[in-house]
Amino acid sequence: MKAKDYNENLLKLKFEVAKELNKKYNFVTNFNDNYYNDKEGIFKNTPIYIKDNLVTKDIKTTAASKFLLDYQSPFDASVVKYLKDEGACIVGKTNMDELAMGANGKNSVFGPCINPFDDTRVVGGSSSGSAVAVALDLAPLAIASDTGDSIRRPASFTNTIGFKPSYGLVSRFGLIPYADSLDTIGIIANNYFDLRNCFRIISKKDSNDLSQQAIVKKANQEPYKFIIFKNCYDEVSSYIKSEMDDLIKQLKKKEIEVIFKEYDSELLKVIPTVYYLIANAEASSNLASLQGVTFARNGYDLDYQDLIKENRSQNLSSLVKRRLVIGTHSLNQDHYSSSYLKACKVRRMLNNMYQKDLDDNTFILAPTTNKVASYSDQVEDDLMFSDAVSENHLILANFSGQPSISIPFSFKNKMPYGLSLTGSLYNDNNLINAAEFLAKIIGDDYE
Amino acid sequence: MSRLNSLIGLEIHVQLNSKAKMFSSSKNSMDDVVNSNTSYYDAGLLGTLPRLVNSQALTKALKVCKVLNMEIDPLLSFDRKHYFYSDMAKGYQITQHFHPLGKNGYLKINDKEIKIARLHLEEDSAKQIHNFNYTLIDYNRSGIPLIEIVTEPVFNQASEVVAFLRELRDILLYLKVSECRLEKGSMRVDVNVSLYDENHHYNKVEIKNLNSFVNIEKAIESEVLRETNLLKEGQEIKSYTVRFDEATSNTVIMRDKENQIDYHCFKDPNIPVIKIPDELLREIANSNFKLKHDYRKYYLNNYGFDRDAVEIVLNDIYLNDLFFELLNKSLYPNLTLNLLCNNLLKFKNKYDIYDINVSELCYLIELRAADKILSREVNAIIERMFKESIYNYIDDYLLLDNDKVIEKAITKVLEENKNKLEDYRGGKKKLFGFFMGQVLAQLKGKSNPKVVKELLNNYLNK
Repeated sequence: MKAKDYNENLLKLKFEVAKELNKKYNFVTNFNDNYYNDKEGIFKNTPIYIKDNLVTKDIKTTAASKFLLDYQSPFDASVVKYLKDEGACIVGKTNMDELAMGANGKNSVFGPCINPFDDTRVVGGSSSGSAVAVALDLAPLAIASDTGDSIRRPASFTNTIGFKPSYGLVSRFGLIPYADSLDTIGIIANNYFDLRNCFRIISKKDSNDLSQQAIVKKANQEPYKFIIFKNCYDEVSSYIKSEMDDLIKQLKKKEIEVIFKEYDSELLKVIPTVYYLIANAEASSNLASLQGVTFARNGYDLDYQDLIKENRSQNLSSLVKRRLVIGTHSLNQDHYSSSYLKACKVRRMLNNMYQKDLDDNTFILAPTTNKVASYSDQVEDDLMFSDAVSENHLILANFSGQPSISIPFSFKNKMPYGLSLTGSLYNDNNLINAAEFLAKIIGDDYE
Repeated sequence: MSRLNSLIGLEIHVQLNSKAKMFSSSKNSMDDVVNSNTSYYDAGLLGTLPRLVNSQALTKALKVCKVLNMEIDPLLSFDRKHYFYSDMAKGYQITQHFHPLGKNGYLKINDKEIKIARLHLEEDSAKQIHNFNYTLIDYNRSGIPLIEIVTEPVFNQASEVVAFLRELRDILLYLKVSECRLEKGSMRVDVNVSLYDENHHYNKVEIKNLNSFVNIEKAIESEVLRETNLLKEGQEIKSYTVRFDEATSNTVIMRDKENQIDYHCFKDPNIPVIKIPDELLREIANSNFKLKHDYRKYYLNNYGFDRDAVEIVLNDIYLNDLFFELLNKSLYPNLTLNLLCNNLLKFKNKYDIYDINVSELCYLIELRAADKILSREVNAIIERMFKESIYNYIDDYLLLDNDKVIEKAITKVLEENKNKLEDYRGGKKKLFGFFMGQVLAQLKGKSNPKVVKELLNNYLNK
């Protein structure tokens, strides 16, 4: 159901259904009973869910961490404010991996989020709850954040559209940071019309964020040109590959240019290493404010050293702690230049590789994920990343800041998976157009 | 053991007196109610970001760089420096670790060039008030712009250090970039002391908690002595951090510095590198800032003022501003200097003397120059100026110099005292004082005694 279909009654009904469904799917951390917004605007009466790492002044913001279970922000994140100004009703905060660290949606103090397509499978993380809210059609839109693949991965596993805009177009003011240089606020949607409106609204210029400096480009006209990310294509399961082949055939029939491109596989192998060194280094810095002073849960009677020890030991999950250790290590003065600084250099090399020959009408295509969602009991968030490109390629758009979108592609045994498109920097409007163009072709296929 | 020498280096933190904080728009003031000048950013709340890079603070820092002859990095870049302490809400301080604003400068003190390694911009931490079993935090200080100035270890003795610091403070005061109050923490000095002899350079010790120039001098002397004694006893010097204990005038060990803190510095991803505008760089490069010694030279050479009086004015930059402005407006330089030092300054603790109306003050100086008011009335007149315009009440103090009024009073007095007049004219010249007193009484003191005296003389000797 689209934003325009909503009225006051439907909004109320969906809210009640959401509360009921949450008992099963666990996609919301805190509902907002006072969701009604009497402002006029294009999202009047439209329910919108917000990932729980974006602060809200009417609802607690926990980032699904024990540390912040009771945290009440005194202000709204800029994107939340912009949406409320357009009449949107913020109905609830969505479940996620703690502090946006995790790939499955399992690492939450509220417990794992459940996949609506099969309740024994994961949703994918970290924006798991936002994807489920849209997949269950409880809202046309949910706001989320993407640091490595956190919007596009759960979108792929829930048959929704997951859009990560260019870095620097959407204000991060009010986002509990994971890794500032990679964090991007984006959208999970069930239709392109609402997606475009929502993107236009949340990308408003905000004086609170110095890194929001870019200007989005105007959309061009077709024809589009597509590059197939060959390293990914070669790796993915055969059922996905054959869907890709079908799509390529359809495109060629329409005389659309499709080329295969193989990127430097040695360089691609280090994506997870570079990601871990940079993202965790920044995380170790960003989360240094969790000390037990401003954000306190335990030990008001302790002295500072014990206070911080107690709070960080008791209130962060072991996954978060391990990542903080890696991040701190990455910035250690003794090997700063051989770890963090080197990772930054390789990041630039990867960016140059990925952006080369990419003009405004050309998009890189790859299956978002290399298989459908895994069974919940078969995956654990681990520090060991697979070095499969098809597993890691989404991170490239976070490294370079390029816009990237995952759209519903196909199903395998009733489990959905997505197709990812990546465009050139600030070419977000064109990317959404190209995504909708492909969606029509993919849809035609089924008719 | 061969002769020991000491090498001393300084790290100086100075709060800049910009209107807003370094990265947030909250007011830069420590004088208001605690935690009132505190934005969400200053308190380190989750989701906040630096929302500006204070250009006023940058300009002030650039002025200091210029006077300290530093090379300026035209690309402004900020890094994060991490440490866990309750005065640091974010868990890190934004500073310029990798690319300081200024480097390789120097300042000449008594013909010795003091090399200055670097000057960088950063944000201040919150202020802590420790009580017996709890600590209070005032975030008004959190985010105040600081410059850190680091000298090379080039000083050999405490007196050199203090001479440098006095000169530096004068520069900062005359550039109007800081209040430089050591006792209030707007200027903080950490001192590094290390000893060396022919064969060996011993470990460096850092002295903290220094709140006056006097204490800095004492602390260095006491630390050098402590280290010298250790070496004499055959003990080693460890890289301690010590603090100066005012009560005993000794340095006391605070903590072992053997395990150097790793600050895990990296470039702050939230602040883009900023190119300092060429116009600003050019403007700073071409500026000729008037410092204390420039004013001194000007006053002594152009006016030949009294040295002591000039120093009184120079030691108060706001008084100096007022004086300089008055000098340009008033025709009576010496009278102006007198009036400021002997009269106006008396009210320093009672009123905002720098806020006085300059043109009215000029008018007062002119009245004095023309002898139209009594010198003993000047203080009373000035005090009333803080409350109302001088033109409302100056008539109460103006001396009568209307000859006719005075002559009328003289005639009256002489008529009433004919006998005494005859005595006077007969040779009893002592009676002049009597007549003078009578006339002044008749005029109720509101007349210019010089004029009275002259006229009275004429009448008596007719």
